[in-house]
Formats: sequence, structure tokens, C-alpha cells
Amino acid sequence: MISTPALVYGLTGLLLFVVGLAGLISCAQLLRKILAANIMASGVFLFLVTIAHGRGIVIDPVPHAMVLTGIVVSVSSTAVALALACRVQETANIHDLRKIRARGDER
Amino acid sequence: MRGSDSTGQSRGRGLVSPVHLVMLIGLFTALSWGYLAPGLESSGLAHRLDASLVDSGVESRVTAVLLNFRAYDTLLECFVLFLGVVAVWSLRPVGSDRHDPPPGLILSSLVRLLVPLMVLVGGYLLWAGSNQAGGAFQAGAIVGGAGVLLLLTSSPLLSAFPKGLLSWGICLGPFFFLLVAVIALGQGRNFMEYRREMAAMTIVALEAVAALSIGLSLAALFGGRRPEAHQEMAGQDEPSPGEGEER
Amino acid sequence: MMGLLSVSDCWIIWPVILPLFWALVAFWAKQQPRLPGLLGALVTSLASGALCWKMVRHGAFRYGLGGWYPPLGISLRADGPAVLMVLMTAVTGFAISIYAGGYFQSRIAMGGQGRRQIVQERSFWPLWLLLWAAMNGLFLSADIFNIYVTLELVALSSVGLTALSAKPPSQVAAMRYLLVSLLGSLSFLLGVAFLYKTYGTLDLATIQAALCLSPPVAMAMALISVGLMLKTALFPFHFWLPPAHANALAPVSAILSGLVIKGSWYLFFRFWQGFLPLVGEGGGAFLAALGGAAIIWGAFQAFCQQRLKMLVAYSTVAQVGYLFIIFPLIATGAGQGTSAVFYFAISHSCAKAAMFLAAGTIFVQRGHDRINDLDGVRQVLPITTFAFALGGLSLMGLPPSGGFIAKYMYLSQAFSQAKWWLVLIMVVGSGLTAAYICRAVSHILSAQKGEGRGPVVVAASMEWSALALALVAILLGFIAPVPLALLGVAG
Repeated sequence: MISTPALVYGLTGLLLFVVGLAGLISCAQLLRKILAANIMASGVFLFLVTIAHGRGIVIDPVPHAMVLTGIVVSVSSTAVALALACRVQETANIHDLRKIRARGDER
Repeated sequence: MRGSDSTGQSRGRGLVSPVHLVMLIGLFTALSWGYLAPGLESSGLAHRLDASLVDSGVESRVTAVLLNFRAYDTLLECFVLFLGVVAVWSLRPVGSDRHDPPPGLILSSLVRLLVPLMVLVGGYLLWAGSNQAGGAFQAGAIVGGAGVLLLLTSSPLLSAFPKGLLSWGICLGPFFFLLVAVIALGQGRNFMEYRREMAAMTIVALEAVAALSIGLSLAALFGGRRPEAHQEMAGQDEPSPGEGEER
Repeated sequence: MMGLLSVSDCWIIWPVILPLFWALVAFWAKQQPRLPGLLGALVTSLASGALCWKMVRHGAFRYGLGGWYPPLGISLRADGPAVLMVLMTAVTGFAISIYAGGYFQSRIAMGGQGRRQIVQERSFWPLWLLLWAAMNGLFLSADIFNIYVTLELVALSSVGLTALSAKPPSQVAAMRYLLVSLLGSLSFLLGVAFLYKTYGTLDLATIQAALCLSPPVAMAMALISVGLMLKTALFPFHFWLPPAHANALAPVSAILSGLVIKGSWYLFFRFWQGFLPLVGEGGGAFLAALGGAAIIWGAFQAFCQQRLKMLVAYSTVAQVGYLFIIFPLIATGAGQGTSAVFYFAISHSCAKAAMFLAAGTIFVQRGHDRINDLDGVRQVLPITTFAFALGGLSLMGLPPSGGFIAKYMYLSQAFSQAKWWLVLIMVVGSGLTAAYICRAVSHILSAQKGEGRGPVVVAASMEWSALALALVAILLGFIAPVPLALLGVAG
């Protein structure tokens, strides 16, 4: 049976994933979308850490290592996303993907 | 993204529509069902790992996974960071666009005090990583933080730093990883297989170089563009918005 | 014994680490990245060939990295499908690299904005070699978390490449591409977490051997499938693909459409080899329905496009459908379906890359790619026109071409299993493909004078590399037994 801390942390991780997904879908601004993706990533990481402690007796280090790797990957992709968002705003003067959907497709 | 403060109108649109809401609640229910439903549950790799820990050269189990058992992941991860720097530098033109006012007396002396301290803490984390929590990435993050601090205050220390050294430093970590991996091949062992008696030393050396490289990469990601000597910057202008190349 | 075995098996690692090393060199050589870039492409292709030779001689094998084997360590696996994809990447990637050399040379020589082209090339080679390494790593990896890391490497480098073009639409497309990719990767990672929680290992083969339907496995299956479908741009998730592929620089378009799409599809296929027995024919039919919708919708959209590169990009949306309609045929049939779909994948890779390269050459020469104003390209760029037409031939599935062999195998499978609706989709799809290819080719081949900028000399390597790829796509129509024998090396 799942212990109470595992229950709380695991469900919180999954909830963060869903909340991040909601933000990624419905926020119009790029910066918010990027933050939402980061919240999703945090949810997944929390879930992984919960798995590591799932049985409660011995802590499994493999998910911890996965989270560390995942954090570096997410730092890198967030940096690229932010640089790209700045670039989009500078060149196209846009911070909202919806406004240019039509324009972007026609070319 | 300073210009992206939302107007009232766009704030209203940020709300989740009812259809989305129902779908998201459904997704959360499904995910929790997948998590909570009783069934096969593995105990993970902890026991198996403890049996091999003696051979790994370190006492910290997470470090053993990161730099020995799954060192290939860490190698690729170093390249993800390198890739991030290449991608970010390709997006922004060369040079620097920080024209912040010079920092006041308190700030600049605080930075002068904090940066060596942060480097020291980074070194400690590196050393601690072999038998407790800590390691290359934690150390690299602290060193990167020191770099961010220097960038934010446009410290004179920064202009003393030779620009060419930055790209060398960023490449050094991934390159050293490859080197260690290929040397193992050359000596008839598997890719990234350390010699048992040398494992501890190899891991510490890898971590030290990786930490430096990670710190520099993180600071470079924060800086956002390739710093370059002045003669190269001449003639390098921001492309104007409407100007496309293939038209 | 063990040591000896692993030393000779180390061939498997070179297609991954050689491009990584040359990416570093290309990044160092700031002013002259082309030479290390091309050298990197050459040695990577040679290493891929050597791996293929090694596997044919000694059969499929696994390689434990760091001397650790699963479940603790990461292992690489060389088997028929994996090596075939590595080889496909080598052939297509090498031709694209040659093209890119000529492309940047011509663009820099055209002057005007030469400075920016130099900066673009400086970033192009490291990004492209990193992407190549990540693709090879993805094909060869047998560890699901390692696959996540390679997926992220692929995604970030493709986004970087897409954004190289300074046009605002391509920046916007790259942004959307990045967000979609992030969503796909995170969904995949959560699926990996569910699998690890259930089976306590990250080794794909071990997991697939133990796979049985339970709530966490069902969630993992859904999360991984949706994540990979997003990245492969299967029909309802295809929205990001056309602007990203069409607005990128010419060699980048070819890389994205010819190779990157195949990476996530290959993973999807690998995972579904395990999932299909769990969900039975219903799951396969669902995927085929999405694939069928992609074929019809993509082809229809391609026909409606006004720009050549947009047309080729929508054609990719349609062709992705063919990669998915195979699943019901695999679920019930023998190994024939697998051969068919891999044959389709490799011939599409060559043909589509050739078409994008040719379209890019036309773009550079004309200064635009509006289909209706492309009359008379034939007189100026005969080789490129020929390459485009040959690529189109393979896409339509006319004999003799790789596309023909693949579609023939598809149809014979569908007939023998009496899946008439699949036959219908393929026939309609091929008709639409023929329609949009002919629409483009008729303008390019016509004798009238079209509109465009004055005489621009494009490098010969651009024309010939596109033609070479198109010829490979045709050649695949003659040498079918060779790749199929390679594919048959058991995994």
C-alpha cells in the first residue's frame, strides 16, 4: 500500500503536471507558456523523486540521478526558449502566438 | 520579455475554458488512477546498486549512478548544455546589450565578497559529492550563480576575463568526458569504463572539469549572446525586423 | 572472452561520439567551421557504414556502456532496424552536408548580407553535427531514460536549426516547434516514470518482455504515445510542422523532413512492438485511422499551397500517415508489415530530402518559390529539376523507385489480410500525391519564362547532391533485397 507522504507527493507531482499543461495550452503569452512548461517539468521531477521513496525502506538513487539530469536538460531548453522568445518579440514584435498564427502560416 | 505585461483583455483570455477544464480534470483522474491502482510494483534498483557500489569508486550512491553506472547519460547531458549555449548564441547577435548603471559601493563590495565565497562553496560541494549530497552539477550551479552575479553588476572582473577563454571553457567539460571515454576504449576496456583502482580519481577529475564547464555554460546562457572582441563587432548589426534573407 | 567481445563491439559507439567531437571542433573553429563540419560528416558516415558491416558479419549485438549492463547500466543495441536507420541517416545526412557546404558558399558569395550568412554557417555545423549524434544515439539506445535525453538533444538542435533563418515566420515557427517538443518530451518522461515504477528497470527489452496491461502501464503507454505522436506530427498534432519545415534554410528543411521526423516515429514503432499485443487490433486500427486522415488531409493541403516549400512540407504531413497505417497490418500479419514500413521510411527520407534540397536551390536561384511563377526553371537548373522530379516519382510510388516497392508491399499486405479500407486510403492518397507533384513539376518543366531575380550562380555541389539523393531513392527500387536482408538481422 502507498504510504501517506508518497500519496501526497505523488499526487502533487501529477497535479503540477496537469496545471502546467493547462497553462501551456491556454496562456497566450510566450513567457507564461515557458513558465508553464517548467511547472510541468517540476511535476514530473517530483513524481520521480516520489517513486524513489515509494517503498519507504531503501531510497532508490536512480530516479534521483534521472531528476538531476532532467533538471540540467530543462535549464538548457528553458534558456533556448527564452532566447527564442526574445528574438520573436524583437523581430516580429509579437509576444502572443495566436495573433500571428495566420501570418506565420501563409508564408 | 519586459514588454509583455498583459492588458486586462489578455488577462481575461488566460482563463482555462470549460472544455479544457473538463479534459484536464479527466487527465488528472486518469493519471492518479495509474498511480494509485494496486498492481505490480518494483522495489527499484537500490539493492542491486548497493552490491556494485564498492566497484564504483565513490560512496555517494547518486554520484555513483551519475558518473559511473549511467555516465553516458551525464556525457550526453553535458552536450545538452553545450547545445544550449550554441543555440542561444546562434539566436542573438554578437556583443552585449547591457547598459545598466554602474553598481553602487555597497553592491560592488558585496559582489567582491560574495563571488570568492561562492566559488569556495562550489569547491566544497564538489568535494562533498563523493560521499554525501553534492557533486558536479550542484557545484556548477553555484559557480554559474557567481557568473550571473558578475554579469548583473557588470563587474570590472568580467572585462578582465579574456573572451576567447569562455568558449574554450564551455567546450572543456564535454571534451574531457569524451577523452576519458575514448582513453578507456584505447586501453581495451569498454566505453567509459574506468580502471578500478583509478575510478575514484577519474570521477573527481571529471566532476571538477564538468563543474567548471557547467558554471561557465550557465553564465553564458544567462549572458545570452556571444561576447566577442571589438573589431569583430564592427559591422555586426541587429537585423531589422522586416528584413528576411531569402526574398 | 567478455573483454575481447566488447572491444570489437565498440564500433557501435563511434557513430555517436564522432559527430559529438566534430561538433566541438566546428564550434572552436569559429571562422572556418565548414571544413571540420564536412570532415565530421564524412567520418560519421564512414563509422555508420563500419557499424553496418560489423553487424552483418556478426549478427545483432548489445554493448554495455562503462562495462555495466542493464538493469544498472545503459546498453546500446545494434539490430536490423536500428542499423538501417543509422545507415539512412548517414546517406541522407552526408548528401545534405555536401549540399550545405555549397549552399553557404553560394549565399556568402552572393554578397549583400554575406556577414549574416557567415554567422549562420558558424552555428549551422555544430548544431547539425550534434543533431546527427543525437539521432544515432536515439536509434541505438536500449535504455528509455537515455532515449529521453537523446530526444531532448534532437529537439533542441532542430529548434536551433529552424531558428537560424532570420525571417520572422521561421522564428515564430521555431518557437511553436520548441513548445510542442517540450510538451512531447515531458509527456514521454512521465511515461518513463510510470514504467520504472512498475518494472524497476529502464531497459526497453526487459520491460517489453514483462509488459502486461495494468493501470500504470496503460498510462505510460498513453503518455509515451502522445508525446511521440506530437513530435512526429501525426495528423491532429501536425499543425506545427509545415511552417517550421517550410521556413527553415534549405539544408535544414531537408534535415527536419527527411530525418528528424523518422527519429520519433522509430521510437513510436519500437514501443508499439510491445504495446500492440496488449491492445490488439483496435489500437492498430485507431492509429491507422489517424494515419489515413493525415494522408488525405496532408495531400489535400499540399495541393492547395502556393509556395513550393510549403507544398513539400505538407507532403511530409501526408507521408507521416503512411508510417502509421501499417500498425493494423503488423498486429495481425507476419514480419512483412515491418519490412514494408521501414522500406517506406528510408525511401521517403531520401526522396523528401532530395525534394527539399532541390526546392531550396530553386529558391536561391529565383529568390522566391511561388509555384505559379516558377516557369522555366528547367532551362536554368536542369539537374535540380531532374532531382525534384525523380524525388516526386518516388513519393508517388511509381516504378522503378523505393516508394513503389514500399507501397507494393503495403498493398500486398492489405490485400492478403482483406483490409479494403486501407487499400482505399492508399489509392486515394497516391492519386492526390500525383496531383500535387504534377502541379509543381508542370510549372518547373514548362518552357515559358518565369519571374525571378537575374542570373544567380548556384554551386554545382548543391545541384549534384540533390540529384544523388534522388537517384538513391530510385535505386532503392532495384536493390530491395539488400536493405530488407539488413532489416532482417534479428533484434
